[in-house]
Amino acid sequence: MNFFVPNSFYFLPLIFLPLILHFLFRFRLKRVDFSSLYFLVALKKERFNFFYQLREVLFLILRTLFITLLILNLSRPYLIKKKSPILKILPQKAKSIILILDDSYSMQYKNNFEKGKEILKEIIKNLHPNSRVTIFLTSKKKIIENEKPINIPDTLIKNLKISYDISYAQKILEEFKNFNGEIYLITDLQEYSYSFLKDFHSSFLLKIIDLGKENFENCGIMDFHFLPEREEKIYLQIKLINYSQKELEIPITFYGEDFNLKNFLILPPGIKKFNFEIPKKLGEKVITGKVEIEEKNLEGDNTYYFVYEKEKKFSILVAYENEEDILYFKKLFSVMGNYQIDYLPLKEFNKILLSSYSLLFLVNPSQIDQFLKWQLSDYLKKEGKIILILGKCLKENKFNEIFETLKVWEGKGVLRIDKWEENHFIFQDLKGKVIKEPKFYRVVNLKWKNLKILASFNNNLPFLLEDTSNNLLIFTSNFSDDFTDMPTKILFPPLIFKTIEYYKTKTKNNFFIGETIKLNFDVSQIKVITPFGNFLKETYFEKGLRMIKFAETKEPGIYQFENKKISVNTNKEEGNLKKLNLEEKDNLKIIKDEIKMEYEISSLFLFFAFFVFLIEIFLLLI
Amino acid sequence: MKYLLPEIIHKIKRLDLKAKLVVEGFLSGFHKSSYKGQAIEFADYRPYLPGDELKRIDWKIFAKTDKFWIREYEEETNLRAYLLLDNSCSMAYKSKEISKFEYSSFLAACFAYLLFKQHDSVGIAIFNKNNYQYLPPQFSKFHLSKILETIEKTKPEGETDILRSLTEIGKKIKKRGLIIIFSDLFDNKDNVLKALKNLRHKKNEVLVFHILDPNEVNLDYNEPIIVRDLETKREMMLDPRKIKKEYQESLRNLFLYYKRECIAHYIDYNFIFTNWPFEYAFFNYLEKRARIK
Repeated sequence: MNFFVPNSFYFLPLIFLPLILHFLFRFRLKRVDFSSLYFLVALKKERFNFFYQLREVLFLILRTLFITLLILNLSRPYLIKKKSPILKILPQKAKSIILILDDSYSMQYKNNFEKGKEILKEIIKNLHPNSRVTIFLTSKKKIIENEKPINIPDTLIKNLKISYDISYAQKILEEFKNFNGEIYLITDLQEYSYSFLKDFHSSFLLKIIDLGKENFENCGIMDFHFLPEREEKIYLQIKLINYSQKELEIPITFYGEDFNLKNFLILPPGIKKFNFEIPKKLGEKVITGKVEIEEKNLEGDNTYYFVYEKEKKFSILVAYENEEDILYFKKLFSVMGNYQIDYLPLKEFNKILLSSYSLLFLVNPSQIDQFLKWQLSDYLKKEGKIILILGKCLKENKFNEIFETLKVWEGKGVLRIDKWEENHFIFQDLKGKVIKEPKFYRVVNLKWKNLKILASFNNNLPFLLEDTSNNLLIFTSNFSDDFTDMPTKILFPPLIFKTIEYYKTKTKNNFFIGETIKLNFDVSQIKVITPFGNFLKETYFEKGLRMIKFAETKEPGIYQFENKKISVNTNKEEGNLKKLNLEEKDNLKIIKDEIKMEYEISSLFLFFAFFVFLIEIFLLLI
Repeated sequence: MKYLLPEIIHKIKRLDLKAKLVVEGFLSGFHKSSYKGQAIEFADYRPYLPGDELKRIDWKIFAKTDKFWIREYEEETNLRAYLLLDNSCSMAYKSKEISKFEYSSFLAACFAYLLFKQHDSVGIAIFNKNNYQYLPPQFSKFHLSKILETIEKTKPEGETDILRSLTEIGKKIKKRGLIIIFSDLFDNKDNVLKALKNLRHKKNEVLVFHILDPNEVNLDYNEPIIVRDLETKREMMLDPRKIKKEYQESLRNLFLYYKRECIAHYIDYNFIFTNWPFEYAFFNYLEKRARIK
């Protein structure tokens, strides 16, 4: 018999409790000399004769048994099926074998990870003794390399734990594309993580042991954020997703440093947003906390940690050379009440303090002189954000000091946006049709260095680029009549708003596991406090700034870098347990049969415990 | 009569004094002349025959009738009395200051003294399952002292086996007499009765004092207890409140059984609690004594 929760056996000493109580009770009893027990013993129905003593012992046994059964129930015992379909697919000869166990948190569902471990053990046990085994976890941890199966200890497998890191299954498989052996992938075959397998070609034989369930139930927190403050009140928005087909009632709790809100939500199938109000002022301080739903299927997507910092005033400067270039912006910004927006000709740039603005729109500058260049680089160093909109005025020579520009594209015909980063904040919630709509007549042909393309045209010229420090966005087209018809299209307002929102939320405090956290600290070493321990981290220089990069986020929770607090959450997409519909190929075998490796028998013990309880009640009554 | 209360008598240390006090106290309070009358009883007159002692002629009759009439007295019956005292450990039980054995010892001592005063010869047997001490009946002051000394030195010990003990003692009793038994009779009721019947079959008069402590019947405990058998040292956990009624019922049936069976076999059965005055036992004895005569 094996146990899913062997830690429950820490309660095992409790079985002595009835014995201790029994003896305590006995010692507490007064001892009385009596002339003779002759007549007491002679009574037939007495409670103190042999039967009574027997009953006492029976009670003791029953109570001990009751506690033992409860502990056994808590430990969730299961029986392992001895013969499994896996044995049929194992090679008879010695071979090089790679075993990959999916340790993403979706494997928590129905104990898939524990089942996976058992399968892994079984495979190792039944491989040819001269085989060579390499074992990976999909969180890219290589735990055994080129080892004989007989040398792999069971405890190594037994001690494996779920990882909240992103899945590297694709990278691992691609790394071994030319491997001449067999690879066994033990996974729930989630569509989210394994869709690459549809077009995957390799030299090795991939055998997938599929633990996924066609019909599953799960719900989780997809997203959580604070809404803009209104009237000094704070509103929260939570996006929940119910993957099952029935309505669920979910208790949800917000824990903050000094508040605790609990609600019961009726969650229909699909995605649902809920808004909540914190009934008190939080002041200026940074608040950390978490949102939690009570749901048992999968733990990884049930909690969302947050760090909340009161919004700072977000002021925008729109700098221009020609006033007609900003007419559209003026028209657009006139309806944006939440921001402080100033307009300034570039020639007056030396009159203002640039650092007092959170965001700078630099619209169609013709050249950037040395003074402006210093100002801009200083502004970027101080965490300033720039949105640069290039246009026909661009004088290449001057501009090349910052990045290499080619001439303005003035093609015959028009360009349309063709590719874009769908997952990027700017393009989230924007529909493809809307993005593809505007026509572009001219764009600046920019040769990019240290720039990432977020969107590009149908001739592969870039449309929107972002620098690696995430502080600079570049539009390669001025949004004017002779460049594009964009200002007349539905894409223009949301695109501009989203870029502003992007930078507004760019000083973000919330990250995901696997994300590299880059922070600017003006010291050589900082202390990092994480949910699993503390580190000292050296800073390094990047563009004249002391930065730290932190990618060792393993557990969700609140991380602290000196005074800066951030929240790190699991990737909530992992909660979507939808299975990949995959066809078998020559080099791809799927063991589709549901492998019931173990039968949980905890309910049996609960039943016995209840039965024992009934016997005791019966004995007490007679 | 207040001196006959067990709690008062208990305070006196010397057993002979206790017995004397109890018996004299009882007799003086009861009927002083009956003691004298019982020693030499007038029986009848008969004509004088040559050889008769002159002192036995009733001169008052002669004065009235001018005939010599001799007064005849019945000789003292010279009763043999056997005091059978149970000294098994169960007799050591006491809920207050006086144990059953102490109570029985006082009674036995008192009876010895009383019988001596009545010119009866008294013997004693103190018994438990494993052994017994036996002093055959004699009439002498020295013997009385010996009996009292034996009683005084005896402590409760051993277990109870009434049948075995009384059968053994019965073999020692050669001449029939009055057998007075002091015991709690904590034994198999059939065996007890068999033993009593055996004694009775030998034409003995049997007087049984079934001595019990009131708490043995009342079971006055307000919580579960562990009771320890004084004889076997065996322990048992019980809640007296739960079994009291049933236990008392069984004891009641037992007493009634003894009473019924004893009456049927002309045995005097007397049930006595250790907080009862001694006179109760004496009345029963005197009643019995009168019958024997």
